Amino acid sequence: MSGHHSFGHGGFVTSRRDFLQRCGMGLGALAVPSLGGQSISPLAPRRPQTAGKAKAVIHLFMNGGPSQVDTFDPKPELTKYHNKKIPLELKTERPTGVALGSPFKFQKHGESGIEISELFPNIAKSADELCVIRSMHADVPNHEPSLLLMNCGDSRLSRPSVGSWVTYGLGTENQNLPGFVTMCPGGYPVSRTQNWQSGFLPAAYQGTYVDTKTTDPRKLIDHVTPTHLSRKRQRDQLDFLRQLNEEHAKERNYDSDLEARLESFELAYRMQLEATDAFDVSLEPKYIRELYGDNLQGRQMLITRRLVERGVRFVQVWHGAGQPWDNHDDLEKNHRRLARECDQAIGALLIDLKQRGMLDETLVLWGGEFGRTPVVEMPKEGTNAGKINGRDHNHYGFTTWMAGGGVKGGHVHGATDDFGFQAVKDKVHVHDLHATMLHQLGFDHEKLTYRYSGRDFRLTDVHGDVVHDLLA
Amino acid sequence: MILHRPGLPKNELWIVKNFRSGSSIQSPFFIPAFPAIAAPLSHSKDPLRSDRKPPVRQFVSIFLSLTVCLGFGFENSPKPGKVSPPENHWAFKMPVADERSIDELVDAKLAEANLTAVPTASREVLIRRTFHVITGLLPTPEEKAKWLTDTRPDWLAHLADDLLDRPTFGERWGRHWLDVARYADTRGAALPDNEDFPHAFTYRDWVIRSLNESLPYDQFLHRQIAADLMKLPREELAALGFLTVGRAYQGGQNHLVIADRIDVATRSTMGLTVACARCHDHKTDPIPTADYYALFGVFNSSLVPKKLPVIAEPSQEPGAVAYRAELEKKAMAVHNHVKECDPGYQTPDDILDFNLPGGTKINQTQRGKFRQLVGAVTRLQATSPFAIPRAMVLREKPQPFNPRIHERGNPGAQGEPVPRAFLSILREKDEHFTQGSGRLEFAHRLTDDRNPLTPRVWANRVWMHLTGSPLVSSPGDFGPQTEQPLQLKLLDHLALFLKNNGWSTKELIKHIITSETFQRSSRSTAELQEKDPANFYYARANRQRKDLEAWRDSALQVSGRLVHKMGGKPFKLDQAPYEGRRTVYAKTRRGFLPSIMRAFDFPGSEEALMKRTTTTTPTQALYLMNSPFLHGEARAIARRNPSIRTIYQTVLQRDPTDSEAEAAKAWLARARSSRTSGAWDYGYLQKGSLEFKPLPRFENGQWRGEQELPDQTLGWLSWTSQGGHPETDKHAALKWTAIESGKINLSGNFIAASDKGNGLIARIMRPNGEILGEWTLQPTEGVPTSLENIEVKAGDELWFIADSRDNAAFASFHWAPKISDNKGVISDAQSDFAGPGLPPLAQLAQALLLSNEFFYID
Repeated sequence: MSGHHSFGHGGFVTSRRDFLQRCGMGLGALAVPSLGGQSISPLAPRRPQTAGKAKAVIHLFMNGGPSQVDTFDPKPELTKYHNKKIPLELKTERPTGVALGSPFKFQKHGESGIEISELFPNIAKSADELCVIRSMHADVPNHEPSLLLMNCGDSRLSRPSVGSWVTYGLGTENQNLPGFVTMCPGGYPVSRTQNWQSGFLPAAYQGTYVDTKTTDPRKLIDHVTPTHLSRKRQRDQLDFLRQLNEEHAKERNYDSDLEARLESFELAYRMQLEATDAFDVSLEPKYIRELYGDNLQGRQMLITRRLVERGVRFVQVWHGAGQPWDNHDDLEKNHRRLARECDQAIGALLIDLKQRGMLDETLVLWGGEFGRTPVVEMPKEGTNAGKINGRDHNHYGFTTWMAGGGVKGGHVHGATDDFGFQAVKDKVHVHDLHATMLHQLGFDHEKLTYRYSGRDFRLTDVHGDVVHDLLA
Repeated sequence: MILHRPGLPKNELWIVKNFRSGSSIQSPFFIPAFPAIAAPLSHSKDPLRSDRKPPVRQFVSIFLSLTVCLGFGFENSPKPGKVSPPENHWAFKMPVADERSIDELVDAKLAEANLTAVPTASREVLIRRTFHVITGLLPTPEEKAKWLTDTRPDWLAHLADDLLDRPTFGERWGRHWLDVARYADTRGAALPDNEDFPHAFTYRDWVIRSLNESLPYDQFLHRQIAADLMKLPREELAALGFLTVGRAYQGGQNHLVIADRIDVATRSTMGLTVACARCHDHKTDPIPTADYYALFGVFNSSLVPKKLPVIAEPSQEPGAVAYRAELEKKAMAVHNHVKECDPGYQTPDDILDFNLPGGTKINQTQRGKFRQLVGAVTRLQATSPFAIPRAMVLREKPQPFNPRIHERGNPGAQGEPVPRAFLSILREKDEHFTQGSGRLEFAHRLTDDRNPLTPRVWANRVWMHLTGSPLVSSPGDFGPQTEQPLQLKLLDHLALFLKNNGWSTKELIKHIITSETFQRSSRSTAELQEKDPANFYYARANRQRKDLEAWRDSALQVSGRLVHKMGGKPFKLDQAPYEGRRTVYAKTRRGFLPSIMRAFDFPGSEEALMKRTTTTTPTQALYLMNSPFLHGEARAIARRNPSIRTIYQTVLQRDPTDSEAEAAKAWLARARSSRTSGAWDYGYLQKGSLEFKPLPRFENGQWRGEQELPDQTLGWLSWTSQGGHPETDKHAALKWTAIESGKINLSGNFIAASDKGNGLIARIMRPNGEILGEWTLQPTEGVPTSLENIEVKAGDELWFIADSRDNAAFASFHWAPKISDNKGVISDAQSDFAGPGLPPLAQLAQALLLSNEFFYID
């Protein structure tokens, strides 16, 4: 399969009139030369408003909320206060108690000397690529609204996800694959499909969910494998269908929809091979598979690279079904286990992207929906196992990092207070993060809009500022 | 929402706005600052001309349109009370009567634009089109023949009458309305334990029945908003589902539930986006926040009661009795569980009441189980055909709610009190609701003579469903942002026709269908293509693609599997064996649509959907090519039709042309009938026998015995694309049949997959017992199974045998041989791997079902 590029724009069509009336993504997008025809492809690659540095996004979602003070935001002061009350009280989801110093050692890494805990030795190898934001904050300490805020820019209402907005704005480079893929092994995260919904945007922009627990690449996308006909027989059938459709179209001039639908069968036929290929990590050389690790996380990170390499615009990778990083109890044991599961694979992804020259144009985002409290969670009937060794949700301050896609490598932005509870310096709200991501993709977040039910909507609603300090 | 974009002077915005709306410029902010820009564009509301503008001007025009779309300005939008609302907006003025007919109005516009309409479509096309738009189905061959030979000059009016009288009309048009009503069978959000709305279907059935019984549109709306406040038979209460089938919100946020009800009750009926005003004065429409909270008072004065009213007598069938026993058992399981958690708990008199009294001692884990048990009760109610149907009603609270404005939409920030009332733009200053919540007054206010919006909005929708495009391009937004439609006079004509004919939707449909405009051919001309490619002027008909419901229902119809059972519990669309009921009865899981619904633009039901998008994607093609559902329909068609000709007649309702018949014949000769679809077959040899026996069952990409592995008789015997598994007394056998004579080479790797057991023997042989190659392997060993220059004649078989060496434990193997000749690969067991083949005639039937001819309505 040659195709990292689109086969024209014929395969995805909505009425031109409809599309033009709604889209407000700016002149760049509207100046697509192929607009001459009757129809416009919602997924055809489009130029953004300005030249963006990033062409693709990988969002590594540590769902449940990893603890910042145990990973990328070292707090010696917190360790000093271990088992003592800290002079700061903030209300989170559940009752909390004294300070819980991090049980993990931090060390400086790379030339930049970014401090990273022992949980992530492999990610640390790429420390000089990371742009660590220690001053993230969100709105509430609950999973569902925070997931929706991080993914869709609104914590309550049914709004399109970031991946939907990005594919709406940029289309996708490979018409034989979905433009927006979301992978979660073993089931859905909390809030389920809302996390990758297209909301009021056309359905073409919603994430295609793939359960990466499935190892057979042919079962990862619905109906992608013909089992009733051999490929050759199916080709014969499609040749007959093409003939029939061409004959039908001949008497019906000027209807590009007919042509587009005819073409969509050809695309589907090619997709059957390409999609299976893209998800088949066994086609990778052994040393690459070993770099990522022969396990679930290794497989899904390697699939991620194969998808981005083939031109998929937005790939979201969840750690697991439910909310694995939500360690209200046994934080040390669980964070160790979770980090062990994904560290090698994420580390490998960063190195692999870099050595292939893909990192410059791929914006990688790592993080959860919020962070965790520096203080210990107190037991409450029915809410935890009665142990006093975990952390509660924390939306006041948490850490995410980005890499590639034109962000500053080896950079730390912002800070939380001495205990790592709330962001205090150069605060970055989730809306600001979204604005910055869109900026890197070439969009003014205030201008990437869609007209729906009488209003122009955008990802950041009425909020958001680009954080220029994050940009290289 | 995109509001705070300072930068452009507001007067520029207002120029743009007014040129878009086509109305005279009234804004106090207006200063004619950019006449140079405004002047050359002043005619551009005419879509014809704007399409023909030279590139530079078009660029400017796009830019200006975008400034509006992008929401520049509005920082200082007019404050209500200070500035008079834009009464001059076309949609807020009453419709104006015009004596001219539909055709005269359309033709007048055509003449203005100097366009020539295309001729009337053939009667054949008209029959098919009329069946489609009214019922969503195809005519049967008999019906087609009957209407083709009808000699009455007004045959089409008779056809329309005939179709409007059929129950299939309500099924088609009911679904149109259900989009608008954001109908779903579940609550959605993240409530998997208890997500079903077990009685949502009673609302769906009410919609279908009311349309079929010609309930006038005004009463159709009144009942959906206030049936509980009207004197009606109890089954009419189901209408209230319109307000109550909305999605649930995390933590039961009541103000969002009310916002959803206000949205559906205003946008779906009047095309006003009132819900925008929840957090602030509407930025573009004359809807102040006070209006929103006036309605908030109305809708927050009602509650969904804990116990929904029964609207039909319980059945006495044995199944119903068993159902009630099961329900009681499951309900008691809930109460028993709570009693275990808290011995002080008293089972309520109504055992279906699961509202725990305050202070019940139950911890989080126990509460999880409690929710599960309640979920089991709900699921039983949701799925059993014997569950007693109930209406999803609202009831008035004892005291109506006196609303206050929530500052910035925040229920914690209570502002000024406002009286319950209709929208200020459409009422007198002091006109407030006085009867209880005012919900019934609101319902009547939608359709009284002072409301110019409701009849226009419905007329626009009816026109859209019949012609394929609306007159007002945003069917859910008739606010000042929406420019005056080119065909306003036609819209007014239709709106007044509706009102003057007792709000009869059926009369309106018939009125439109019998117009020349509806009957035009869908074939465009070079002239139209150049001047009006988007068909704003209706010089021709729009070719329409069947939506999910129409293609699935008509596929069932031609396969003979369509079941005309109306109403009742929803069925699962993606579950085999596939039900033959119409798609409108399929279960809609809000937020969890099955891939077929997702692929074919079915609404997600999160919010009211005013107009479906139509996409064409390879995902749709994949579904049509590879889904077992389509294969089933294709097989069913082939079973009933023995020839190419009859299959054409059944699916496309015409004879094949000579060249089509020939092409099909040539293709199907190649697609010869075999048990599997390709050159390979999957089976076994009994040890010591030379008889190839096929494996009987194909499931999940694997050929095997009748049961899940291990099968009672065939044990672990199986083949996949990668290899398989032999049994102790049976060898796994892969059969390849040559299509042509010649010399071939065989390649592939045989790998004994396990590190245990006693290994395997791989063998390549002919059916007469001649062994061409044999390899013995120890566990984990692999070997290339290459043979060269094997002579075969067309029809010869080669067998690839895996022998377990008398011990089938740990005997799984990888083996996917390839066969090539000097020109390249002929067959590849891995990529050719296939399930049960579609018989050739079924392949033809499938191709016809996939064709544009089947999918489009001319």
